[in-house]
Amino acid sequence: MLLSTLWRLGLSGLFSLASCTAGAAPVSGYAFQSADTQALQDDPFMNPGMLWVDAGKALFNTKAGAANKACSDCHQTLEGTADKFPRLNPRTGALVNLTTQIQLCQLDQQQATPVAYESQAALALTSYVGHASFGRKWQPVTDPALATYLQRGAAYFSRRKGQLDLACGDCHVRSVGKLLRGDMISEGHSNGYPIYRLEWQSAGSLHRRLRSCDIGVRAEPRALGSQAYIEVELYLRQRAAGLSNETPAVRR
Amino acid sequence: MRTGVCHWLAAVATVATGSLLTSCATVEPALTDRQPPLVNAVGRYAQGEAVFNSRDSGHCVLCHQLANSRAPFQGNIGPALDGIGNRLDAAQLRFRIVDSRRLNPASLMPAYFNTNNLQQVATEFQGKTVLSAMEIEDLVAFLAAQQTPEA
Ligand code: HEC
Ligand code: HEC
Repeated sequence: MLLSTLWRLGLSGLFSLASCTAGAAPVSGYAFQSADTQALQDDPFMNPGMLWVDAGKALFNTKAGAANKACSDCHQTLEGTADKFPRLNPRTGALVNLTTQIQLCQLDQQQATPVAYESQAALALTSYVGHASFGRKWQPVTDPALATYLQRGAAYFSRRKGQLDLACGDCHVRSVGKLLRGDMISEGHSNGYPIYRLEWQSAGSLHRRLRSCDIGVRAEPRALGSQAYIEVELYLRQRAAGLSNETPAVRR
Repeated sequence: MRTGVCHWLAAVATVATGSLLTSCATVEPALTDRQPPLVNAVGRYAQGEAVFNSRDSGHCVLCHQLANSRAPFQGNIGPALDGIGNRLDAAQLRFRIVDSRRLNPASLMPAYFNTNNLQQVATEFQGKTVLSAMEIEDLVAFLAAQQTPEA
């Protein structure tokens, strides 16, 4: 009884964090895909995610809103931009990811209606900016102002939750390489998002993936673009330090 | 420990609908790996197989393989359950399905008859056990019958 209470209070968390930080270099979800899926990701002409990248490029260069400005009017170089997120927005101080930053730009700079989180336009713009950092290695999160958010994201990752009472780390640390029915469990890295997922027949955001995992353990999922998920995203970025950006990755 | 078991059973009593439960006074000393029936009914093999395979029910094949289950794509997070009936009797099987974390707190296997100490449970599942007492009885009947001849 006592032991199980202790466990639920967070021993499982310590376990997953410990084995993660002490462990070997992270392995991308790419390594857990079939050869066919890998080939689809590798060929830019076949990779379906490139459709969103191309659509994003067009949107990026289109003037919009009352200000009649395009994203490209303010941003010339995009390489390296995606690497900086999640971060604190310099003007508002709020924690933003790439997508919620794009929404802020649309609202404040373009004076336009921001794209809805999982809309085709949001996925396209996020994919385009994400892909501009393709191949760049993710760095550890060092900004001390992010420490509290990082801790909260790590706590979310290691806390058991839902009716099935499983933590992210129960699968993505303790069960890596095992089969959960037809799915081989990967380390749960976020370095290829937005991804094209064959099961979705569409591009999808990291937060959509997080909702699927939460719903899978029958936990109440957090909202797309919510602070809770951006904190998890920050922790995932930290965990994935050393992996290269693969946007748009392809997953089964 | 004895009180702990009583608390636990009391909690079960609040969620189990229409089932016969052992009262606190008659509970066996703790530290057993046996669970008496949660409901006074005979488990049914075919229904148990359905619970074992169905995505909307027990969905045990998510983590376990069992040649007799015929479900495609069986998981391997847990051990294979072929011949499990040779190793564990009905009460032991029931104990593990109800809450295997009473044996091993670190277990990856969810508790199928527990509503305590859970966090962030989706609204539709709040206050509910994953399986009903009867589904567990069916599952136990199905698993207890998984016997290999050589054992
Ligand atoms: C019961 C098991 C389970 C739990 C618990 C779980 N996941 Fe997953 N997760 C999966 C499976 C299965 C996949 C799809 C296969 C894969 O890529 O690992 C997946 C995929 C992912 C991916 C995508 C990896 C990629 O390469 O595209 C991320 C990121 C992820 N999970 C993060 C999380 C986070 C964060 C949590 C907790 C909020 C969590 N998971 C909880 C099983 C789980
Ligand atoms: C998320 C993974 C998971 C799911 C789902 C799951 N189990 Fe398990 N199960 C395990 C693991 C892991 C073990 C190994 C013992 C442990 O860690 O507690 C186990 C052990 C067992 C055992 C004991 C086996 C032995 O040889 O002692 C039985 C019986 C069992 N499970 C039955 C079931 C049934 C029935 C279901 C569905 C109602 C189920 N399991 C669902 C992961 C799972």
